[in-house]
Amino acid sequence: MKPALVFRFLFAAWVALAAVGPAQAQAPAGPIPLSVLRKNQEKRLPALDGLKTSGVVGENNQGFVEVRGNGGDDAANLVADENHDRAVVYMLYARKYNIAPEQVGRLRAKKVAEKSKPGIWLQAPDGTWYQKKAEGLKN
Amino acid sequence: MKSGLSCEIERPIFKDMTCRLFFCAVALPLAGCVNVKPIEVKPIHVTVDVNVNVKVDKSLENYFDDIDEKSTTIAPAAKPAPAPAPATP
Repeated sequence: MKPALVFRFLFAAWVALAAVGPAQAQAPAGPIPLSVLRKNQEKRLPALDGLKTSGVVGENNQGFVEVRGNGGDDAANLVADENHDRAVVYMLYARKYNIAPEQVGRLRAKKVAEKSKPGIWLQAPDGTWYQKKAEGLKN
Repeated sequence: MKSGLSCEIERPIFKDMTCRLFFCAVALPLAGCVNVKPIEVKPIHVTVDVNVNVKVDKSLENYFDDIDEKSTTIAPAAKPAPAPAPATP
């Protein structure tokens, strides 16, 4: 290989590294702590509860929220943010217990279905949606 | 002399072939008789799975407890009833 070619290659590598360096510096140093995720979820809780109460959003059988009615972009963004945080939480516990994140999500969905108040839209394990009725009444 | 030599060379080959054919004829029908039953370890797997689910449930409850308590769409978890106060005379 000619020395000029070697020099060109080294220069190109230096330019590439200089471009990538700042981008890496901006990336988060490590995984998001659970306390930060919980605070974010608590902040959006009143809005999410409002959407759930009005029937726009429901809890699906995978442990995530889903837009069911016409909630607009705000509802879609809120649901996307919430689902992102939930997915991270499920992923962390899945890694801890060496199981699939989907399994963690399904366990959470089961709990949410049990604890949800009447009127909330829920997805049954078979995929059908139903509105939770008051205790004592069958769905 | 010549024919005797060729006979000596050909015979071992013939013997080898018949031996292989005989082996195949005996081994092939017997091969179908080998029956290995798979060992089932399902009960052990289920037990481990249930234990993991219980652990994950507890961890999830620890994490979502505060959020669920503040939520207006989730009923608060039923807390154990306090022990009755001792009757005073």
